[in-house]
This record gives sequence, C-alpha cells and structure tokens, in this order.
Amino acid sequence: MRKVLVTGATGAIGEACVRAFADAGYYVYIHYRSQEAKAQSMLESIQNGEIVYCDVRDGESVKSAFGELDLDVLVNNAGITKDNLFFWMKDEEWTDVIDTNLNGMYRVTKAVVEKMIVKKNCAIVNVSSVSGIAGNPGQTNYSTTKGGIIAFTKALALELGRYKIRVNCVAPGLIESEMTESLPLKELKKGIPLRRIGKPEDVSEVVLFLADKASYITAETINISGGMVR
Amino acid sequence: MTEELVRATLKEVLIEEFEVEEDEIVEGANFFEDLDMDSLDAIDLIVMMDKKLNIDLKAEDAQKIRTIDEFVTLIMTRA
Ligand SMILES: NC(=O)c1ccc[n+]([C@@H]2O[C@H](COP(=O)([O-])OP(=O)(O)OC[C@H]3O[C@@H](n4cnc5c(N)ncnc54)[C@H](OP(=O)(O)O)[C@@H]3O)[C@@H](O)[C@H]2O)c1
Repeated sequence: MRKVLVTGATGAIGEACVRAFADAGYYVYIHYRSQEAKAQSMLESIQNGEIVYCDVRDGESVKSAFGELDLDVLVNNAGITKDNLFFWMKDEEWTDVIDTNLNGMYRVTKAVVEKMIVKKNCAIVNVSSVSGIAGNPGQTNYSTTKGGIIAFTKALALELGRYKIRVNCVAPGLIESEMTESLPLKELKKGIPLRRIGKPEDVSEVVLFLADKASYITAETINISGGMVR
Repeated sequence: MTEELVRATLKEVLIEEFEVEEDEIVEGANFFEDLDMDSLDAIDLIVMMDKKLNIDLKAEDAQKIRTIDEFVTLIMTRA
C-alpha cells in the first residue's frame, strides 16, 4: 500500500488532500499541530492511516515525528499568513511566515528525503500560491515564501530526478478556507474568469494527480486559480 | 562479507546502473575524474550498495569516498 504524509492536514486544503489520497487507496499520515481532535476524527472517517503531531517550526519535533516514515508521497501543505502592508510589517510577522512556510517545508522534506532516495518512484507535492507567482499587496512575507517554494521545487526536482522522485508544486488562488474566510469574496469573484471561489477539492484533485498519475511531470507548478492569475 | 564479494557487487552496480565500462573499473579509479560520476551519483551508488549488501551506509558517506578502493575500505569497516 502506498503511503502519503500530508502536513497541515487539519486545514481546509489538507483535509481535502487526506480524503483524496484515502479514496485512492493510500495509507495516510495525517499531520496536525494544534487540532488533535480534528485529526483524530478525520482518521476515523478514512480506512487506513494514523495521526502524527509536530510543529514544523521545531527541527527536533519534525525529525522525531517524520524521520522514520517510509513514504511514497509527501504533500508539503502546512502554511500560515500574517498579512500586513510592508510599511507596517512587524519583524515577527515576517519571520513567523518565513519560518513556517519556507523553513518548515525545508525541515519536513529534509527529514523524509533520504528514505525516498532509497525507495525511488516517490513524489513530493508542495503547496505554493498564486501570491508566489504574481505577488499580492499586504503579503510580501507570504509571497516571498510561496515564490521560494516554486524555486525550491524546481531545484530539488533537478537533484532528485535521477532517483525517480518527482517534485512538483500547486499554486492555488482563492480557496474556501479559514485563510480566506474574512476576505470580501463577492467583490473578489469579479476578478476570477470562472466567477467562483475555489473549493479545497479543486486543489486536492490536482495534488493527487501530480503525486499519483503525472509520471512524466516534474519541476512543474500548476496554477489553480480559476484564471485569476495568468 | 569478503572483499571479493564487495568488489564484484560494486562492479556489477557500476556497469549496470551507471553505464561504466568494465575496463574502466581498475584499482584506484576515481569516481569523479575517471568514471564520470558526480556527487548525486555518489549518493545513488551508496544507496544501491547499502541495499545490495545490507550494510549501514549513509548518504553523507558519499562525501567521504573518491576512489573505488576508498569505497571498498569504507564498506569493509561497516560490514
Ligand atoms: N486557502 C487559500 O485560499 C490558499 C490559497 C493558496 C495557497 N494556500 C496554501 O494552502 C496551504 C493550506 O492552506 P489552508 O487554506 O488549508 O489553510 P488552513 O486551513 O489555515 O490550514 C493550515 C494548516 O497548516 C497547519 N500549520 C500552520 N502552522 C503550522 C506549524 N507551525 N506546524 C505545523 N502545522 C502548521 C495548520 O495547523 P494548526 O491550525 O494547528 O496551526 C493547518 O493544519 C497553505 O500552505 C496555504 O498557504 C491556501
């Protein structure tokens, strides 16, 4: 049975990924940080898996949680926003977002990659954002991490291709979730050619495709924004 | 594990997986200068030898080896 780790699994997109992989027959490691009860109830609703705790800001916690996992697929999805116009941005808003989104992804990937190299035929899917492609006012910190994730994806794909490990990225636009709850969605829809906000499943089906089906795609970023960003 | 077995396995892996010619595999051959390998190949080689011989090699060992003899010696100390 193929095994996948989804980080930030208790969030909207993470949860959809857990379901997509479970439906495709995967054993799913459901990673959580603060929402153990939610992770537990997700576990009860799928066939095979387990819940795993760690805080991606803490290197030791990441190593002890993930270092021994024998994965076929890693989905680097955990992430936060701390939006502010650059002029007013506080140092901790900058560093928290970088440390969670970018360093966190580094730590998680580093903890699992050696076993993947041994195993071969593995896949990594990183969750970036259209903010990392086009930039977004109020999100210099977040856009920096999401652009970094795209560059990281490409460089890592070049290193790992020879071990038959594919590394790809998705860049969602506006997706229904806690992250977008407080935004003026009605107004924002006008800027989206498909005239709707995305659903977490719009993202998870592409993540599953990249991990499971896209056997000749690597170093790629797929934009999932309903045409909002071109 | 005998040194003979280690050398034979290494030879087989180099020929089959890294497209090295048999006559290039001589004592003292340098992976990087003579066999046209790079550091990512070295990691792959370590991983394959680890799997075949079931020894305790780590990806970071790739930084320690430059020649066939050095690699064989390293494997013998771990076996
Ligand atoms: N929603 C969107 O419109 C959108 C658009 C583009 C990209 N994205 C990206 O998609 C990913 C998932 O977003 P989402 O919308 O599903 O967000 P979400 O609902 O806020 O979920 C984020 C997840 O990340 C986890 N997390 C945050 N900080 C962590 C830490 N230090 N250690 C471990 N886990 C941590 C959260 O766990 P806790 O709650 O316990 O902290 C949660 O499970 C993120 O990378 C986000 O940037 C989202």
